[in-house]
Amino acid sequence: MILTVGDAGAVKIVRIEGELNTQTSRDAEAQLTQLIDAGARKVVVNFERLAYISSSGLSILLAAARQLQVSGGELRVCSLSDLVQEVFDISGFDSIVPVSKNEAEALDGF
Amino acid sequence: MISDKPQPQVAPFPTKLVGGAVLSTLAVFVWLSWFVYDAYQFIQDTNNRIVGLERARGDIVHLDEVLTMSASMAAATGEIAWIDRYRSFEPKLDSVIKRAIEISRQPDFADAIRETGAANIELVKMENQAFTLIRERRLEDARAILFGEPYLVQKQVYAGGMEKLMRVLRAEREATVESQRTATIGSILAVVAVAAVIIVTWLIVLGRVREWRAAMSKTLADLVRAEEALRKSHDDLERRVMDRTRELQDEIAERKQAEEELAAKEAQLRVALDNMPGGMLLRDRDLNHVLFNSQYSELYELPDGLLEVGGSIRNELRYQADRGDFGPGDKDELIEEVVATYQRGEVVGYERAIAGSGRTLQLRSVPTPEGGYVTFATDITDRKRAEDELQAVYGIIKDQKERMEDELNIGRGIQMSMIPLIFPPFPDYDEFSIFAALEPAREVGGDFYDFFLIDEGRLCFCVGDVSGKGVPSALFMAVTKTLIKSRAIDDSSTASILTHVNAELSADIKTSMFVTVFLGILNFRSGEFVYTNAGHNPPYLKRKGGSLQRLDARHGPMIGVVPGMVYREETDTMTPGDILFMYTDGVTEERNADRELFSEKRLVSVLASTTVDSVENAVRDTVAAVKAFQGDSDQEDDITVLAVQFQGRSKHDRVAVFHIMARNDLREIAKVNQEFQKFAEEHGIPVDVGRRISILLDDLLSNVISYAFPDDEAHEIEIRIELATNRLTVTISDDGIPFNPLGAGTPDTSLPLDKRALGGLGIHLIRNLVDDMSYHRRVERNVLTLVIHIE
Repeated sequence: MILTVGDAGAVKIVRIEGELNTQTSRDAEAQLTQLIDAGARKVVVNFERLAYISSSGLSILLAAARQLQVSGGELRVCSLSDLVQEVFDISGFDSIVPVSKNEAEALDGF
Repeated sequence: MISDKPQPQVAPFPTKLVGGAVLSTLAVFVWLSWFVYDAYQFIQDTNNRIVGLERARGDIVHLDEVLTMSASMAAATGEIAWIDRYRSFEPKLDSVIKRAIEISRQPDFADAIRETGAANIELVKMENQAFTLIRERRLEDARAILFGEPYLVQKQVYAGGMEKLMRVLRAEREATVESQRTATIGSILAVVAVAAVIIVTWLIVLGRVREWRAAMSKTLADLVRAEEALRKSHDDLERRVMDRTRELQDEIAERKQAEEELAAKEAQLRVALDNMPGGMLLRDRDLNHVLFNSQYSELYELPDGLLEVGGSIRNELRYQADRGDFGPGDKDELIEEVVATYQRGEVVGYERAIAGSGRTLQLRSVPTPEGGYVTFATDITDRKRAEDELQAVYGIIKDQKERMEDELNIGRGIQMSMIPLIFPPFPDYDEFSIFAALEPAREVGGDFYDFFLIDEGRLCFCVGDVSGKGVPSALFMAVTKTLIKSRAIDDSSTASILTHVNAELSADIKTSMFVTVFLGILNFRSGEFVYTNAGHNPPYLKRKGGSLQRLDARHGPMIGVVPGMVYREETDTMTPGDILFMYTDGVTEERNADRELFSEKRLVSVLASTTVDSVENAVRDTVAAVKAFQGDSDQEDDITVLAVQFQGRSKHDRVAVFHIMARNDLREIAKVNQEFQKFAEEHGIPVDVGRRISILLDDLLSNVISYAFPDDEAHEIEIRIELATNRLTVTISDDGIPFNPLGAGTPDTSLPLDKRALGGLGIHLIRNLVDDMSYHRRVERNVLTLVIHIE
C-alpha cells in the first residue's frame, strides 16, 4: 500500500494505492493521523488506485473521518472502483463519508 | 345620586353694611332723639319759664293789687281785717317775686324784679307805716301815707318796674319763641337730613340686601335643586336598599332552606356513615379528626373516646404503637413514619394487623381536595385467611404445574436435540440441497426427521411420527431415530433397515408405542433413490417441470406393531431440480377455527405453486400456509416437513482447489492473500471475484484469529477454496473455541458517524459480499463455508 499526499489549495489530497486490509490499514492510519495532527482539516482521499478495502480499512477511514469532524473538518473520498463502492454501500459508509466520482467533484465547494 | 355639583355659594349677607347701616341709623336716631328731646326739653323749658314768668307776672300784679287794695281799704276803713289780709298776701308776693327771679334768666328781668322789688320794699315800708298808724287809729296819717306822693311815686316806680318787667318778659317770650322756632326748624331739618341720609343709606342697604336676597334666592334655588337631587338619590338609595334588603331576605330564605337541606343530608350521611359496613375517618389538612363513624373505632379496637372531633392523629397512633401494631422499634419514629405517609398527598393503601387480636384491616386513604385524608377501613381477616389458604393451594398447584412443564420441557429438549437444525447441513455438497422444519405443538408430539450422509455418494433421510405425546413418545422417537441411523450405516436397503428397526422396537412388548416412518436413501450422483413407507403420509415428488406426483405406495404397517414384519421398498429416479417433499399429519390434520382440516388438497395447491422451486421455499411456504390456516386456534400436533432436492451437479465439477494452512497470527493473512492471488491468476478467476475473496479472507481470518483462540497458543487455521465452473466455495476451519463469526448482529448502518460502533461491520460486509454462508461446529472444529457464484 502506497499513500501519497498532495495539496489543492487548503485541501489535502491523499492518494492510496494498493489494498486497505488488516495489514496495510495500520500503516495508512498512522499516516492519516500524522496528517490530521499536523493541521489538515479538509482531506480528500482518492481511491482510484485502490484494489479493495476490507473492514479494517473501513474502520481506519471512519476513525480519520471522526477525528476530522471533531476538529471541525471533513473527510471526503473519490474515484471509488465498483467493488469499493459496493463495500461502501453495504456498510452504509456512503452516508457517513461523502463520495464523489472524481477529485474535481470532491474539491467542488470544499 | 347626590349631586356632584359644587356646593352653591352662599352669598355673604352684607352684614357689615347692614350692621353699619343699622348702627349708624341707631346712632343717628339716638342722636336725633337726643336732639329732638333736647329741643323738646328746651321748648318745654322755655315754655315753662314763660308760663312761669307769665304766671308770676300775673301773680305779682294780682297780689300787688290785692295788697294795694288791702292797704287802701285798711286806710280807708281803718279795719284791721284789711291789714291781716295784706299780711297774708304779702309773703305770697315775695315768694312769687323770688320765684320769678329764679325762673327768669334774663338779668334784665332780675333787675326789673329787683327794681320792683325795691319799690316793693318801699311800698311795704310805707304800707307798714300806714298799718301801724292804722292800728294807732291814725287813719288820716295812714291815708296820708298811702295816698301820699311818695307812695304814689313808689307805686309808679313799681308800675314802671312792672312795665319793664312786662317788656322784658315779652322780649323773653319772643326770644324764646324765636329760639323755639329755630330749635324746631333745626330739629326738622335735622330730622329731614337724617331721614334723607337714612333713606339713602337704607336704600343702598336695601339694594344690597336685595342683591343678597337674589343671590340667596339663587343659592336657595341651587340648594333646593341640590336638595332635590339629594332627595332623589336618597330615594333611589332607599329603593335600592330596599331591593337589596329584599334580595338578602330571599337569599337568607334560600340559605335557610339550603341549610335545612344540608342538615337533612347530614342526617342522611350520618345514617349512612353509621351503617356502612366499614369504618370511615375523615381528617383535615392538619390530620386532625373531622368526621368518623363508630365502626372505625371498633375495627381498630380503640377505646371509647380516643377518637374525637378535632383530636390529633397522634392520639390513635400512640395507642396503636403502644399496643404494638407497628412492630418493634422506637415508637416515636414509627408514629412519625405513619404520619409522613399521610403527608404525601397520595392515595395510600395498606393492610394493618391489629396486634394481639388476630384481626387484619384493609386501609385505603384518599387525599381530599383541601389537604386532608379520608380513610376507609375494612375487616379483611376472613379474606386474608382465605387468601393464605388459596396461596398455599396455589403453591401446590404451581409445583405440580412446574413438574408437568419440566416433563414437557424434557420432552421438547429430547426432541429438539435429536434433530438436525443447521441449514444448509452440507453446503459443500452441491449435488443436492435439503431443508426441513419442525414446529412442535405445545405438548411434545413425537415427530422427527433426520438425514445424514451414508458415504460420499448417498444421503439417507427420514421422517417419522411416534404415537402419543409427552416424554415417553419423545424417548421412543429418539430410540427409533438412533436405530435407523445406526442400521443405515451398513445397510443400503431401506426395507432392510426398517425391518430390523421394527424387530428391535417390537421386541419390547411393554411399550405399546409405534411409529410411522418414511425412509429414503438418495444416490446423489445418479439421482436414484430407494424408499420405504411404513405407515406414513405418502410424500410428494415435484418434478422440475412442475408436475406433482404422490408416492402413495405403502410398504408395510407402522413400525413397532407387528414383530417380525418384513418391509418392502421401491426405487425411483430424481432428475436434477426434482424435489421430494415429506411431511407428517400435523400438516394435513391441522384445524382452523371452523374445525376444518388443512388436508392434502391444500398441501397440493401450495406445492404446485411455481414459487416452490427450492427446498427452502417448499418448506417455508408449506409451514406458512399451515400457520395461516390455523389462525388463532391451538396447534394440536407437531408440524414437520422435510424437502430434498436433487441438483445433479457433482464434485466432478470441481475445477481446482486452493488449500493453505495459516497460523493464528494476523500477519499470516497477507501471506494467505498473496498465495490466493497467485492461484486466482493461474486459474483465470475474474479480478473482481479475486478481490472479493481477498476482502473475505482478510475480515474472516482477522476475526477468527482475534476471537477463536483465547489460550494464546499457536493454532492452525485451514483455508480451502474450491473453484467450480460457476462458483467458488471458501471453507475456513479452525480448532478454536466454538465461535460463530456469523453470530454478530447487523450493525445499524443508518446511524451517523459518531454513534456507529466499529464492531459487527465485518460480518455484515461478508454476508453481503457472498451468495451463501454457513457455519458448523463439527467435531471440535469451527467450519465456516461461503459460496460465491461466478459467471
